[in-house]
Amino acid sequence: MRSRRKLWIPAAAVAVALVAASAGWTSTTRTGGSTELLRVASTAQVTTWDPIKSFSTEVLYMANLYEPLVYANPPGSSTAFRPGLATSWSRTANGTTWTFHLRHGVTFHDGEPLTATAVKDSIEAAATRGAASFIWAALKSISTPDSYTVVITMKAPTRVDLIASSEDGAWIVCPAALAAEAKDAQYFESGKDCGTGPYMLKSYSAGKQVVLTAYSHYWGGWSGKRYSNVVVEITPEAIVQQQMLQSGQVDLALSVPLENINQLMKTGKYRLQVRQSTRNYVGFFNTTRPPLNDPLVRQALSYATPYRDIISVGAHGYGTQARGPVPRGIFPWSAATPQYTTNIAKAKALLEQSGHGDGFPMTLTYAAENQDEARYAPLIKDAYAKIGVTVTLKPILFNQQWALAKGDPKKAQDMFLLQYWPTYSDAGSDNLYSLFHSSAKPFFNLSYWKDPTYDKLVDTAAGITGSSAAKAKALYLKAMTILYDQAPGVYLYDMKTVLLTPKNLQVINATNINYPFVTFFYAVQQVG
Amino acid sequence: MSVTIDSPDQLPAPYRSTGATSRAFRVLRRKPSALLGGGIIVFIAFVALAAPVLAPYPAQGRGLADVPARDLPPSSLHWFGTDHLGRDVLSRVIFGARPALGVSLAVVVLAVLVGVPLGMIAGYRGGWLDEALMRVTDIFLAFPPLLLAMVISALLGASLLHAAIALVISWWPWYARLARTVTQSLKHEPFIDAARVFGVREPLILTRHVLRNATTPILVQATVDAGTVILAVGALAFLGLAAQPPTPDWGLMVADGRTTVITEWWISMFPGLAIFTLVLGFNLLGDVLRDVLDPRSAGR
Amino acid sequence: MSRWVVRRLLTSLLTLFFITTITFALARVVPSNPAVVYIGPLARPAEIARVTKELGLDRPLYVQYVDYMRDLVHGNWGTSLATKQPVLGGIASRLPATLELILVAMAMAVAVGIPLGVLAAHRKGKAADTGARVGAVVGISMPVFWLGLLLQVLASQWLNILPPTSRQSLDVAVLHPVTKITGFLLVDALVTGDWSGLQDAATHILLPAITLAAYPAALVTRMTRAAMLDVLGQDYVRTARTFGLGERLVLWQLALRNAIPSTLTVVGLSLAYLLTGSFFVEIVFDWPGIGQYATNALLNLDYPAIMGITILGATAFLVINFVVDVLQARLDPRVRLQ
Repeated sequence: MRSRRKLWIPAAAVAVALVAASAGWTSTTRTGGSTELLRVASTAQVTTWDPIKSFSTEVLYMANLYEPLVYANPPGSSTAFRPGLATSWSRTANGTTWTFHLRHGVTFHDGEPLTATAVKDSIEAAATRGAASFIWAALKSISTPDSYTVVITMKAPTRVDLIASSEDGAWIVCPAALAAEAKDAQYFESGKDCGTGPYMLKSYSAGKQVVLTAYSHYWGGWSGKRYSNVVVEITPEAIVQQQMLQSGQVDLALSVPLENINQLMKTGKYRLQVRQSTRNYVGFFNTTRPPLNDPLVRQALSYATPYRDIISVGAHGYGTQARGPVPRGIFPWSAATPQYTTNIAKAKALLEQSGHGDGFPMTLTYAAENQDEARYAPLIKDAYAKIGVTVTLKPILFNQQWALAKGDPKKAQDMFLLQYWPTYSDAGSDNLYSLFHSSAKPFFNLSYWKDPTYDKLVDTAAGITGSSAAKAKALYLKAMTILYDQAPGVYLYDMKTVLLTPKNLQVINATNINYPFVTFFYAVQQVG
Repeated sequence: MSVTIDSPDQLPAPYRSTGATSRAFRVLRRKPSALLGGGIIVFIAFVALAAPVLAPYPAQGRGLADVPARDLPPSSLHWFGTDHLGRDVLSRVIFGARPALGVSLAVVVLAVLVGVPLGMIAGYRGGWLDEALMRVTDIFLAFPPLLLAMVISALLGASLLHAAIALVISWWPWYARLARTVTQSLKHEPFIDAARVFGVREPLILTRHVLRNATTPILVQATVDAGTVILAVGALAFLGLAAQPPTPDWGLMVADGRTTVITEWWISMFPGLAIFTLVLGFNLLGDVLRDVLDPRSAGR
Repeated sequence: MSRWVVRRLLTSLLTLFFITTITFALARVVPSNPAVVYIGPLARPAEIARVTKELGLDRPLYVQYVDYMRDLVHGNWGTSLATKQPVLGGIASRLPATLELILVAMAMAVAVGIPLGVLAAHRKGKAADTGARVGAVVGISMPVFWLGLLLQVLASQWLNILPPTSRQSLDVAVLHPVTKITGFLLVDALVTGDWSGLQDAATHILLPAITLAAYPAALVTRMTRAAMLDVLGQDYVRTARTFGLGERLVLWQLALRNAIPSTLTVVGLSLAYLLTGSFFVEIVFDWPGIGQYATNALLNLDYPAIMGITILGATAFLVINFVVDVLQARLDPRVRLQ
């Protein structure tokens, strides 16, 4: 019929468009071989472009734009640190004064040479107005006897090499940019950088895309098959990253859903790199609220926690049960630290012994946007139900979860799930202190636990870490044993970093346990 | 021609006792879409009520995990397979009928209960009360309803209750406006005038006469809205702004299964299908109701 | 007419004012420290205190409110706490992507819905009519996020004929980007003769647009069918027929022209749905538009950005309703302007 004919025209047009479109799409997918552009998908949002104020996920980009004095090597390396902008360093016997000798021939992205004054200015800026300024809390003074020597004096013996290797608060920034930033706090936010690193910031589309381009005068040179441009597509969802990887839209997807790794590996197109990370999960008990103020009850709950299931479901196997709140492989982790194993019978017995055999109710809060916690929190609920403890799950956005926990402990949650990582690789002065040292107002110690013996151990150990790490470690072990006995929290699991790469990319040195959230794009090379 | 009326009960009311309602039901019984739509709704309501009995694994339906049995494809043991925590998807879908139907009906009923009286009073009285209502509803109607619900839910803290509250806040103005329009059109009908003259008090006029005639368009609107609210609740849950784990909510289940939608399609597929089916039921029924009861707006 | 316009404008402004105030109040009342959103979760108390002062968050609430409203009037929508970028700039940079998606979806909906509706009306009671009506009721019952997932799996994973996500290939976006004129990739690529860019943009927008178009297409089909049925039965159409005017002429020219006002209503209604529907499409397809911006803002409790989205949403809705009402009044003088 005539009216039917009218429909053929738009239908045919659509069909033709579809065919043309699909032909067009397959031909623009990359065939490979060129090192012009490395396409990456990541969840890393940029909260600021200011290297002094940086303290969040934008460290992924910072670590490619800027460099610290030294880099911390992964555990098991022959040396603890490797040269960054400093080629050698030494300290006085008492550990309070450190001297760094700078690398020659290094220039900032604005062309100016690296000098000791630049280092002094950068560190002082970080110490006074940095977001992670607390790492330089013990800084006394910095002097620059010549343009390639920096002398840092601390108020007490401190591991300055460790602090200077931090991924937050230790970037060396060019003097011109520092001066501009001192005058205008928003100087960097339009998308500027001024570091010494292998890449420069070419463009930034807020919340969407970051484009880095190679700095041709980088002191490390550009030998090998490194990429001259890197585009990072910011995608908060792991499944989208996987879709981009599989359809050939990106070369590197930094966070594919862990449950799909097996399926992806079966295709034979990828290599898997699994490493320890410094991130772990801790659950705090509200030790001010009965019956959680009784250590027996907390021990019972620690026995009831289904560690293996939580790792299967939350980490899909890519995790190891934690020994205390210190992540595996980071000072002062020790295999001698005791840990609980799931034992429902024992849990019930302890609960009876405490006089709460009938059970009691509990509220558990976790970050609603954290997919891992959302997956495994129900397992905790089910497990505690087996010993008569009724858990009510309360997922709240992290900012709110934290704001609520920092209020009156009597009115706060009974259990708080937290993902944590230390600012630099000293989990004694960081994790052990921040998470369980008593504090007048609750900050990270969301168990509100106060134990003077523990406090003394941790304080003393932190003080002698600079002069004798071994002695400090022994003290920390005692402290961690208290954490086991008193159980102010459950120590769930240490996360592993999983990097899935296509077989044509070599990424061996691109990740480092001491730098969570960072991939060093300079180390990514084409193979073959 | 004049009619002598001795008491308020003798006041004629259009559509009353002319058997329109019973006629309507008889017509509906014959229309296939009405049967299908009504059938779907009744079936799902039954499933929701009888969930503990119907579900093969009722504890899992409520949220109990079974980690060793996770990510299993559909089989004779698990007709719809299992999800990431090893829970039987069929049981979860069955229990999911409860929040889906419960919340959407609650939202619609509350929106009607809040909006209709306000609208009727404003429409009947007119004057400043009417103006005030119009301005207030203007504020709420200036918003895409789902966006308002998202913002409220996010700020209050994501939960099924807050999502429901947010949706009621977004939806009541529509009913207020509808009731107001209907009331205004009825305000000057002779039988209302007669009742007033007779001294029948306003509340009685409103409930007995106005409301009875307003029921039809409100009912039609409510039926169609129920479907829209179900979609809205599902959408909010998909974003993580409504029901939270381990509540068996269909939208939440679709979001949960998204990461493995290629290899474990059953985790997202069946809950999505459930949402679609229930909404389809309400839409079919709503269409037919509109055709039969309110032919003036047929085919909208 | 103009008095009505002025009154409408005034009420709209008043409405916007109220919405802004209510959202501002809500955002400040809930527990969440904006300074923490600004500086990140690991910051220490000293830093948080410093930032609180820097951002002026320690001032009394009404002072902050007055400042905010004053800035708003001057075109400063504040700075996003999470991204440190101006809210207005952030929204403006993402608006073209969402608008393009909405407009393409709307075009598809009309291009499919009107012919289908006409066909269904013309062949009322027959198979084509039933088919169209079933399709339409399915279209309005489909959850948009589920449909998006289905299409993504089908077209991308199983058949592998279309890209699953994003608006452009990264190769194109970084190495040979489309010259920016309007911000609409399809338009810009067409105008500058960038065929590979056009192809790239077209293949990427296809799936999201189809997902978004399903619901309005169904609505338009139903509306067109109903309007056509109304009109086809009317006297003047019967007269035209008896006078021997060709069936095709009758259908397409007289009848359709009269069906347009009611279709316009549906387009107006759909645009409102499309605003929020696009959020979900943007999430499933990783489309860089307002939806992503809004979702991030909500999840981060980034209240300046939330305020910005609220104002944008309300303004868009008010403008659309206003335009639709005006057009309706123009096209159909019988419509009473209340």
